[in-house]
Amino acid sequence: MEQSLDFIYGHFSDIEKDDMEYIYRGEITPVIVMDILDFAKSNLAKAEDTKKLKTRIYYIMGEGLQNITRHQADNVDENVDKEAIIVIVKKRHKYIIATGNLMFKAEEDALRTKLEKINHMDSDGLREFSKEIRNNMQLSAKGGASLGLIEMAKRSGNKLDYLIKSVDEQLSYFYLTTEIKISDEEEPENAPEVYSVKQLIENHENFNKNNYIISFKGDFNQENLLSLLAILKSGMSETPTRIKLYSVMVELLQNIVKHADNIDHAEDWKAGVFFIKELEDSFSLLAGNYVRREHSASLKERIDRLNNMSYKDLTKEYNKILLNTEINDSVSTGLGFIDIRRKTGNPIEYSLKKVDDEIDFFIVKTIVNKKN
Amino acid sequence: MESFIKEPTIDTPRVVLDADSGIFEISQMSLPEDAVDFYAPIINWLMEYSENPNKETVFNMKLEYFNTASSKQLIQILLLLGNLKGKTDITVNWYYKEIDEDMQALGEEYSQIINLPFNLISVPKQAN
Repeated sequence: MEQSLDFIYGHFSDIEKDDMEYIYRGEITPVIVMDILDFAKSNLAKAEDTKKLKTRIYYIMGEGLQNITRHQADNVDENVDKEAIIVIVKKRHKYIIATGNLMFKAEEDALRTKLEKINHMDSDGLREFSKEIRNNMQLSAKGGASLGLIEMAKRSGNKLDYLIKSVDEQLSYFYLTTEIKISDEEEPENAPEVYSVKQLIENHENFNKNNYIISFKGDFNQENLLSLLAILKSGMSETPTRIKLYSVMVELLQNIVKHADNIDHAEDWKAGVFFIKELEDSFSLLAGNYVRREHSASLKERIDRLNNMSYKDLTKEYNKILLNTEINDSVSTGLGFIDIRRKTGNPIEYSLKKVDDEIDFFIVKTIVNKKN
Repeated sequence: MESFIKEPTIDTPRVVLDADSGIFEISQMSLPEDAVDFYAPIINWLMEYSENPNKETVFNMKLEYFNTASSKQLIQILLLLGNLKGKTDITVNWYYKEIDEDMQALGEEYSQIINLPFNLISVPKQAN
């Protein structure tokens, strides 16, 4: 079994109800920023947070993401992983917005000074500082950059946790996490940090190494599925490859929305994990969710059977199901995997990992070849 | 007969079924969470229409994308239209984007399942 499939479960297994984690790695454009904010919003809507809180979280995210578009260094050496990373995490009673991007070393000192200054201020100090800058509006070409950071600190009520990591003689990565507490509930004693700069760097390195471009773990529903699709659409121009990616993604994600079982039998939580990986000549899409043991055998049998079919046989099978009027179920048509096999032309890789006596974790991987 | 018009959403198509003006069209995106539920009123409308159809019926399928759950419902629509043969002069126009080989292939397959005048119409990529 490919190492990446096991990695998926490892990445997933610590999730608890209502947690979520979204990671994007790639070029950050204003359009992508808007899409990611929409996506975050569709997840915020589900959580039981107050409107005021939602607005605050949304605002801080906006500042954090726009901060990258202002600061990121471009025109850099081909050998450097220049893609930025954005992470949005909800765990227990906290949201974290984390970003990492390339910057020029020449700007490092000024940034560090600014961050230290902000982190040593209390809320009154931040308000004053913000006013002062607004009044002097002598903003640099990077426009309003300090204001963004001040607002993030002010509105989150927390220090800006950061790390500047050297890449080469000219460039560094700037990593920043901001934590937003969403309830007054105390953290359990010795609870690990929800999401640290160290984890951010690990994720960035892992994503760079394995060429992952998007991941999401959490509750899958139609609304956040549509937002994930929108991010894919904005990130790529319309090509035959994107058309295929889009349709495979819909089938994989709607599979989770419709079929995911749950480890604690909670009906209203379709927990799953999803990754897109981009290689030179292909994309891989990986999806994982819990399935009850009694479904595992038939799932395995079905995929094995489809993997051994020729295109012609797949089409026959597809038409048979399509025309079978006895199957008119809004939950399951049985066409999804056939469609994926036909459209990609590649076998469907999968793994079923035993979680406990009743539940397996099902991971599926499909490859979409790039076309010219 | 009263027309059936549904404006599109991000995951459901635009639907125009208007016997008076002779427009029958499904366009844009179809990936609803519950395809059976979404297409039921459309299928009902067409069943009613088939009792007393126009002399001529041109049905335009202009979907940019549909998921497998929708395909089961679309084939029901096509089968219904197939039953109209003899009662009305029926044609199906299946539009697909030039670059979308999957939509083209589906159109070719469906045209073989449904015994109807079936035009596959390639839409060139729009200049940006």
